[in-house]
Amino acid sequence: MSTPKTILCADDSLTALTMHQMILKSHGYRVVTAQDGFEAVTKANAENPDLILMDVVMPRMTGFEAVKQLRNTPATQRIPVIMVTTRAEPKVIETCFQAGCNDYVNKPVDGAILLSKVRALVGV
Amino acid sequence: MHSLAPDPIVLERHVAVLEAENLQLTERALGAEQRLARAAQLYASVSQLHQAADTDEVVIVIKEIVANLVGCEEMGVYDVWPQGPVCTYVDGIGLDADLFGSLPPTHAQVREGIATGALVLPADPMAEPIHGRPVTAVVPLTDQGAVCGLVVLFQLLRQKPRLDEADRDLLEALAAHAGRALVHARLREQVR
Repeated sequence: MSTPKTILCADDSLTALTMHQMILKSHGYRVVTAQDGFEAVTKANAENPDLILMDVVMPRMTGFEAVKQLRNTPATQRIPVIMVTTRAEPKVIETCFQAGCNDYVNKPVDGAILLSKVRALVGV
Repeated sequence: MHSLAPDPIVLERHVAVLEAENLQLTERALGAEQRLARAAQLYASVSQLHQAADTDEVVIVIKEIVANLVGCEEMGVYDVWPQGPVCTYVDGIGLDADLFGSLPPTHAQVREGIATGALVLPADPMAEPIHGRPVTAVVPLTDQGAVCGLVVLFQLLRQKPRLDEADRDLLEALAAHAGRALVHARLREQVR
């Protein structure tokens, strides 16, 4: 049996984290969580996840700042990142990609869309 | 001697049947994923409401549910005083607390929500705005049939044109569980 892929979910909302965990775990992914950008960077270095689901607005360190740090660190620079953003304006999306993310989902997160984007980046 | 090569026309028909079955299975799988996501939303919301340690935490969870899971950028949480009924602002997102400090007591949908204890989803959010903001939903928070609070959703996120059936389910769960969670949190605070 192959080792399940690990996804790091970073969000300051426990409600959102609980929901993402349920959806992803039910599809066989191992889930690690962080509640701010600083913790996300720490856990990314510790866990070396296969994918990071990163909320944008978080305390201590925003999702943008966390992604920039990850991209500047050799050990984590290749981990794919999906940004979770409230705003859908093109300028915001552009900022997400400039920060170094691979894809994005808008809130409210559609579980089916999230899963399809996760699969596209890391497989099942 | 007969050829053992398969008939291309028969093969084409088999492929067409398999493609149709594949499409059906894909649609069913997508439907299952969407139902799972809705169940996950409901579970996450209810469990977080009842795990909240105090009234401040309950209000935070209410805001998270409305902002993140429904997709709303302007909302208010109000205490409801049955003697009035008067609705006083507790917390919210995207609102001027001074301007939205209380809700107009004559507002039809607010009155309906308080009187019936049932979720109110206006067909036209701009039919009776409050301070110029569209009233998308009025969610009475209830405990044992009594309305103890109100959540009003104003402007949804730009990428969210309207509420759907999943949102209705979520807001009804919020109505049923947030009220009780608030009452229990207040009781725990009084005991302390």
